Amino acid sequence: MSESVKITSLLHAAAEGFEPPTTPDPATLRTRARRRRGAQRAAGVGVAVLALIGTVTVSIQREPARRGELTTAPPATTQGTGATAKDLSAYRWSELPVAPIDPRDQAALVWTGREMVVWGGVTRDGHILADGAAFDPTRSQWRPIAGSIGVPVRYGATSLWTGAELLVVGGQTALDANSRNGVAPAGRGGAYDPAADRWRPVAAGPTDAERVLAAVWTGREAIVVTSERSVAAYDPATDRWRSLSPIPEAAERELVSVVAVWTGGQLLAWALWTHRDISPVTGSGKIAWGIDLFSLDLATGQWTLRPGQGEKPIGVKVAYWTGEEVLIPAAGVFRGFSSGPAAFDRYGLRYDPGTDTYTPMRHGPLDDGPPESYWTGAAIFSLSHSIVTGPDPMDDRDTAAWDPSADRWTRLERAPAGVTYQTPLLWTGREFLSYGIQPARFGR
Amino acid sequence: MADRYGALVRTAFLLTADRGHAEDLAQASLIRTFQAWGRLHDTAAAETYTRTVMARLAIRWGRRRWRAEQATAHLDCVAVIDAAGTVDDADLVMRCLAALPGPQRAVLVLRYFEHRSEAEIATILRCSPGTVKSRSARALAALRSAGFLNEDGSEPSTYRGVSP
Repeated sequence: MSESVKITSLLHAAAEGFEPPTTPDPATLRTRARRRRGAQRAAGVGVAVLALIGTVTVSIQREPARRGELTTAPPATTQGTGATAKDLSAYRWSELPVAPIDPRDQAALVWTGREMVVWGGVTRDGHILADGAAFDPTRSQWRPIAGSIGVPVRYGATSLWTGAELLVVGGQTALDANSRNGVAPAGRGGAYDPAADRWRPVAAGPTDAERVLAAVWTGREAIVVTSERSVAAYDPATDRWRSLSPIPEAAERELVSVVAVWTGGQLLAWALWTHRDISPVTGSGKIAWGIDLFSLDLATGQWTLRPGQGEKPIGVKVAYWTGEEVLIPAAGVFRGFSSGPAAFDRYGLRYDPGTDTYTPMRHGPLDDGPPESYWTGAAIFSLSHSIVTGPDPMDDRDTAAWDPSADRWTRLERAPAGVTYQTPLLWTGREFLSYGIQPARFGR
Repeated sequence: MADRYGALVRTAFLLTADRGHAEDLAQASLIRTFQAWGRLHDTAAAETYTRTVMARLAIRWGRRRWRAEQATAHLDCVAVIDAAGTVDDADLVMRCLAALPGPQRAVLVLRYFEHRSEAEIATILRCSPGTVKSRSARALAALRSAGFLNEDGSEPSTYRGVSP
């Protein structure tokens, strides 16, 4: 390992070991601003500056903050016959037509089978938005969608496509000076029916006040796991929530994140936990962490710990069900609230739920980033958001595809500047769509 | 918003090598960004501007507040062993960073954490590229002497573990 790579990894390890508060208390900023040159007008606006900066894309970010602030659940599953790695190698990036709504980040985003629907989010100047639009890729046309009357505005929401509606739960709403970190839960969720172009509020549930760690669509219900480790199912047909057994992780362990996937018959949930036992007097003690896999049988409501055979994951960010196995692309090394050196030569894992066995995937050219990864139905598509020098170099927005049948990676065309890790990609079955500051598509 | 604030404070943590000063530095830099808002032609440059302010302020504050820091070619570091029995490298790195003079620390952070070029660093820190090179060389020499950059991966010579 070269000296520059080594020192880069040491600095990243040190920075990741520091757990900063997520946002300053607005009251603190207000006091500070007054102290400095009596700038009273800087008071609330200090927070606005943060909001502005919060939406600025920054290319050098080895690992997006994952500890404790996973507000948007990863896409659950994408099944069916999709583009292979060979198909993707012929794809090219291009810009989408200008949308009839303001550019935004952290919007709710789903593919309906016909349109990409975008709603909510936050602008670069910190305005939380209540409008949305839908893009039809076959016509290459946008249309504005109906206003979300009765559904609180938000950003960072969890969004699912139920087959008939865009379901939006969780997320944050306007700055709240009374809350600890300056943001407030968004409250009640909402559902948008694109056929009727109409919104409806969702019944009150656990996601109104708790952070959503994971959400999957089973075909009938949305199963949601929250930061308070409660698990609930929402049935859009009856507009009712029902409580399920909580994840049976030990009580003293704090759930940092949960990655869930629906396999068609059961819910698999990787719980990433940590436990701090630090003396407030001496400052010394222990930090423990781990990743446990549980399965939930919806028929019995029982969770089962799956100990796993073979090489177990050291980090999990997203998981995809292929119809036969679960793919766990390479992720950052999870160390709870502890820290350690950056890891190299990372790789993803394949998990067979039938035998409870993990097997490694071949190391990918972007795995050390690690990248954002998506499943097309026949290949994993990876998008880097890291700059790594040394023997296995990568630039941000580099892309690659993994062929599951050959266990082989292929580098693809680099994404344009408007596509970042803050901008989720949507797989339509034919191409990727991206809606961020500059909407883009990756297809033939 | 939360993500970017956390990233700013993490950089401030590296620049100050002090948990307590990190948030002070980030917030002071954000307030200066607000005060300069009218001069920013591109709001997308707000974070870049804030990071530049942070690097300059870190050095200035270091001169004013942390005069106890002494340049050193030998770093004495104490590691903490975590619950899994592995050495917490981050803790060790921070102790060593804290032992570096502020300007050298700033060059290391800008060069290897923010991946800035020497020319960019010279502009940010308002010094010559030659000064950037020499500060970088001295900081790396200090880290080498502490055994951090051993090619064989062996432990630093000053390493000693502390059981939890």
